Amino acid sequence: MAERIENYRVRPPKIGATAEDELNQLLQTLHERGILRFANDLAGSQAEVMKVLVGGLSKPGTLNAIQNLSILGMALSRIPPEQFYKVAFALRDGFASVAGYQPEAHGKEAPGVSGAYRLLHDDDLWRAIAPLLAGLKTFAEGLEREVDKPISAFSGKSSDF
Amino acid sequence: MSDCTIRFDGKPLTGKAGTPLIEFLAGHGIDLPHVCYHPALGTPQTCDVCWVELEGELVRGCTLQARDGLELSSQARRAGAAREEGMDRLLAKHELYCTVCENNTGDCTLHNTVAAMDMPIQRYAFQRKPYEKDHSNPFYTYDPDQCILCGRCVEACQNVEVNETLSIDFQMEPPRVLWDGGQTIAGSSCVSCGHCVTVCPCNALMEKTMQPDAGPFTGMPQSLKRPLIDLAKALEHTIGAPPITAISKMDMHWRQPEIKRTKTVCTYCGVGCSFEMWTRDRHILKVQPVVEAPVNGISTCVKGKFAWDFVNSERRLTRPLIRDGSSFREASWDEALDLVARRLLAIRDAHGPDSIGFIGSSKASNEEAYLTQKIARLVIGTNNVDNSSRYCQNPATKGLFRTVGYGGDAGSIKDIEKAELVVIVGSNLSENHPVIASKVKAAQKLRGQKLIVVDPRRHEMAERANLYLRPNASTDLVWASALSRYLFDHGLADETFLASQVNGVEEYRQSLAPFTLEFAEQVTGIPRAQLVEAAELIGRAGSVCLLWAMGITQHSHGADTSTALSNLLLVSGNYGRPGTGGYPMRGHNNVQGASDFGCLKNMYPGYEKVTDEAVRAKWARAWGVPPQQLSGEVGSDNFLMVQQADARKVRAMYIIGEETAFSDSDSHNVHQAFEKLDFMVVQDVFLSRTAEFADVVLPACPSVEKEGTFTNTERRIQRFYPVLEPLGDSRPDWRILTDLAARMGHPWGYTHPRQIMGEVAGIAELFAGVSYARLEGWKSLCWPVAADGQDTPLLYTDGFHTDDGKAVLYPLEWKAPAEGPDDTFDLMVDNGRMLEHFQGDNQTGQGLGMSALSPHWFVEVSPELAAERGIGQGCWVRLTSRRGAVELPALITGRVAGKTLFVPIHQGKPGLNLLTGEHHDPDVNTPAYKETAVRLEVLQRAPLEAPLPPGNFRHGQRTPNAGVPVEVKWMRDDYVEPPAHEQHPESL
Repeated sequence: MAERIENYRVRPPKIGATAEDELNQLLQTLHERGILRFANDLAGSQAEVMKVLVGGLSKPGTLNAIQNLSILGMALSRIPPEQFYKVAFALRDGFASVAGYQPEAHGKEAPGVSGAYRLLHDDDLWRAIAPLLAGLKTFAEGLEREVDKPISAFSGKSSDF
Repeated sequence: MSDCTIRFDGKPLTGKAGTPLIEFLAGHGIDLPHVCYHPALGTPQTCDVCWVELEGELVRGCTLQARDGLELSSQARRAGAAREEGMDRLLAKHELYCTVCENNTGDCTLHNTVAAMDMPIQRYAFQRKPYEKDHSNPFYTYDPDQCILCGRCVEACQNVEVNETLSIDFQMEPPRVLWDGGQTIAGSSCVSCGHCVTVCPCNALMEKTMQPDAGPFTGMPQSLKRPLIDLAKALEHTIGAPPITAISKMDMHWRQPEIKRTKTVCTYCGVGCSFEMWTRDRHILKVQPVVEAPVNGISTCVKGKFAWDFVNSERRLTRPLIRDGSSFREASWDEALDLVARRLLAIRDAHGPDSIGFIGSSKASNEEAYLTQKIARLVIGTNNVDNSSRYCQNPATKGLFRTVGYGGDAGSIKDIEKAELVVIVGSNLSENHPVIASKVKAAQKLRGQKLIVVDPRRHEMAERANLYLRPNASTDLVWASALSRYLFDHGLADETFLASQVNGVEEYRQSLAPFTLEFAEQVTGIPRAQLVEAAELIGRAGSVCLLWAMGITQHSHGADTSTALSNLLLVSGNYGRPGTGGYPMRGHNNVQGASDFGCLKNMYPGYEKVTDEAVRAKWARAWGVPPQQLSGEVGSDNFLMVQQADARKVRAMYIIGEETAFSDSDSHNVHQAFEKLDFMVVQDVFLSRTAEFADVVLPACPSVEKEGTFTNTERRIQRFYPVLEPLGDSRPDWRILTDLAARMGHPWGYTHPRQIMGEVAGIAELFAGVSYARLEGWKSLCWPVAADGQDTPLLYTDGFHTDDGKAVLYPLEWKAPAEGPDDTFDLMVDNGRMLEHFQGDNQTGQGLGMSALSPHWFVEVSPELAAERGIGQGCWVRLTSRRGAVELPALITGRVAGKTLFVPIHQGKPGLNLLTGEHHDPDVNTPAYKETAVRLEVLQRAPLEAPLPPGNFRHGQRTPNAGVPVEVKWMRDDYVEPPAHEQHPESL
């Protein structure tokens, strides 16, 4: 004979992971992926690794590279991307023009009237300078192009995005 | 389908002719970019992303099907430009911030398509829309700013779910998805079925359970998220989209290890929907239906899609409880199981095996039903074992046993879809079996299927019916028999079928003499002309499926009425062919399986009779005991067990997952009987009202924390897999029963449910070919299953399940209901489940979302009765029956008529069964819940303002349409076909 028990309240169960569970899971994953082993190796050999790292960083060439990259970063941070794009890609186009210069297409003869007399008549020298002039011309053209969005200029797809 | 070869970008590809091009290419590992196409929805043609070139012309690839000689180019410059233009237009409507978007979990169609197209930059700037994000629904949100107007949601709502709530007006400026033409989601006709959310290709429609923590970076505050998005957009101007997309692709990938996708089967009704459940630890991110699901495809209802928060309820039972004076105390499993074993064996030894009764669960698995009856029969030695089908389905099963032989649906849901005519009787299909209702609604809307509904209550299916008959309560046997007579009398009976496949035709025909149309009209109240129309529709239809449920079975003659319905199908020749048959709609997810696997007082698993000596010997041999150890006597069912407990003949009961104290009729008597038991064990997920009477409460796991199989209303057996680990110390029922049996001297040693299914399949012929291997993943089997694995979705194609293979027409007499209205109790209380409730609200009542839909218990009162009695909306009334009284606010609605009321059955304490009585169907002992007469008194109490909250979908006004009106978009002056550029892509 058992009367009804109406007001018993069930003790709420623990639902979801605790911080400890999450931490254990993280440790297990790090272990399985070999990251803990690497971290252990790294921590265990800290002094030696640091020595190598500092030694490498202290070489004049490395120091120059770090300082130059820093300067580049400082300069880049002051250039609007549209301008930089314009210059960078004008340069790229200029380089392409230089590299792709075909002397045969432009003739081998010197231009004649302007410039130093010798230069004008030195065919070999003219052949050497002409590609650079062509590159300079393309570079100047690149600088004249208006760039709204670098990616649009780059991809050729206009965008009002 | 025959094979064909197409040429795609110059390459020959061979596959099935008629396959949609996108699927065909996918089968060859080629991804033709697409967004709006969905295999379950077809081709809305709204996204303009899948262009290909066919004979020099641009064509949307989604509109093509594979055929011999088809020659296509996707690499043509124009086709590529058109696809890119299409995507550019989508991105004018949708802001990409995928790494901080919850939807980037791997199945975001838009993200994945953008990533695959690898565009350098989007052409059009994203434009905000002048609409707020709609948070008003408890389960999902709609963000117009993210909506690409693909119309998948509209197609799903209008033509798959057929709730007909969503639309897109392409003439609006800017267009958006509309609920009921422009309501907030709450208050519209949206039933929260989740179809739209499931098919949304982006985050415009998204589950609230996904928000905000679906990804590692998605939970950050908006004050951080916004600047981060702006930063990425600024960078994108210079570096383009690919580097940003690369990050979101990495984000999608690194979310995968923490997301688990598990197939499970829904436990909220007998339809048997299966779907993937996406979880991260114990957090259920979402329920994601898949096209491959054999029953439902992408369909769900509100419960299947959204009502799973109960699994993490703080009220879950997680430790065994033992009665200790006037309270419970927590105990270890060893102590609790030892106590149960000791007490049950002691009671068996002192009072005999039949002093113990078992009620198995119609929500637990087939394997658990099997173990329940195995403990009862083998360990205790009694056939006192039953399940909740006693309260609902046994009369239907009885009717089928009498006429056609198998106690299950005659065919599959596909047959219901195929039928020329569907007849629904006593079933609120769209609320109780919503996904089957969707199939019927779609067949009617899209393929011209005819629908007859017979029901005292004008529910949604009644509103949609081509012919709606509203009979007086408890008179269905009369109209069904009158229709049978009409078919005979007017040459509409299928005489060939009757002559060759049916016994007892002449005797039955003679028994129909009293059932004239005049008599039927007089008893049922259905006008004669409507009876004739129904008979003509049934008699002349090429194929008829007849569906029925509790409105038929929960009467004092429910078995007879079920028989009458099956008789009608036989007379019209509607068994054994595609698109025909009788379909009792099973209510609980495994009410079919609980009976199939032996939780019946008279049947071993597979419907093998306990009184058959050969059967008993077979089971005894399989279980390794002499036949005498198994009882050859039919046991007691739920109804009798409770009566016998009251009479002190039954001394102990073991109840698994059933809310008998709430759901059995005449609660007062049930409670009194339980209090007289010497010992009571309840195994459940929550401390139910039934558990409050127990001496020992054992904490069980819900389906998502265990493995097993369920059998749906189609007789379809499906596997479900463990989504989560058991919460706390709760355990799967099969394990509890195995451990208990071991303590009672039967060390069965099951370590996995597959071993249990293997055992049943080796004994019960009905399941001979059932194995877990054959049920792997989305595979399923409809019993009977032959040893070679051949299953039977459609029954009776080679004769009926009777001794001579012929069906039986079963003569019946009309008997008045056991309880009807009289001068004192002048109103009848119809009652039933509502869409948003299930089983005493033990599960659906745990989450705030579900509870918010209809938090108040109420009684539906017809407008005419309200006017007659002076009852206003929300007015409090007292309903008094011969057993008890309840007080409820009135909801005045045309869903009920005249002097019939309606009360929902799953809400409220103490519940409807204070009113119901012990009168029952003598053939099956099913209580006549639907035969409850009451009187009504109006109480002088301030009315409840809104018995049904304003946000409830029943207040909505549907907006039926054919789907996405893409032609309207194309006809707009500002629409130009890609690859031409668009002036207002944000609007199109």
